[in-house]
Amino acid sequence: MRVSVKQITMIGIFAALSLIIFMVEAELPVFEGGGIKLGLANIVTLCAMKLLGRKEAGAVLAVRVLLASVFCGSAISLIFSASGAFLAYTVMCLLIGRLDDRQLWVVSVFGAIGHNLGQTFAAYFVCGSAIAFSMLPYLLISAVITGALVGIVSMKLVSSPLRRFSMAKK
Amino acid sequence: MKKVLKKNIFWIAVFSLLVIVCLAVILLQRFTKEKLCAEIYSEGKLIRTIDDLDPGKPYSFDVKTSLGTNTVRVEKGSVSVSGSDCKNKICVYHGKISKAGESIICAPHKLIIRITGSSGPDAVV
Repeated sequence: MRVSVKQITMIGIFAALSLIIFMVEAELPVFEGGGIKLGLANIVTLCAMKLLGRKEAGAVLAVRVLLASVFCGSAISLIFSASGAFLAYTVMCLLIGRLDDRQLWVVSVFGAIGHNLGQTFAAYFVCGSAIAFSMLPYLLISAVITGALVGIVSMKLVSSPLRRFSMAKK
Repeated sequence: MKKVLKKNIFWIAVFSLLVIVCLAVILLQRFTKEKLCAEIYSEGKLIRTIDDLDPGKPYSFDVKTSLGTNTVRVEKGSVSVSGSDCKNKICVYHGKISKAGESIICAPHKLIIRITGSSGPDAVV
């Protein structure tokens, strides 16, 4: 596969954006109970998926997850965020072609659900206890709410003047 | 445009259903919450259990062993050692414990009070 300079540049810009959003969000005080995040960095992943394409979005996500764990995480947090991101990416890749542009928020919600499921499974394997699953209902509710918000923001962004950077083949 | 609206309503319905199911599960979990129990061990052997940590009226009792006496107090879902004739009184200063897995240890008397039950997460990551 040939990667053009434009592709590399765009992936770099999107990854940097996503990393900044991720790290700023990590500094925000977490909600009561912990473990619930807005997932704002997913806005960038979604936009990348719409504007650049699936493969490029995957690259953006991989760079962000790796660098985020280097800058503000540990090996354990890498396992968690990588498993969450991987599942979210898979789910969103499968859905984004099937739903039209106005259903982007649905893709986002499923992505958020996938992310939280991935993290729950990671917690199950790391802690080895079924207690990880007791958090699942809370995580699913938060996934629906934050996923919808993130999706709406992404929809606005994709249809904003930003779309002139689009490289996705139609 | 109308089609889009219809699809959105469909998905909103699906997600609301999911949220409602999750809320139901959470409520069920709340109501079927296990009662906490406490176990008292002396020199590694179980000598007494407390079935209900939340009795109507607080009460205390003495645990007498060959090594000494500890007064254990049970109130409002917590256990504490209110008095002891051991020399360092660490068990008394430990205060109240109320979560599964917590324990008070009186080393001079070789006494352990541990709360059992599986409610509450082991750790928050």
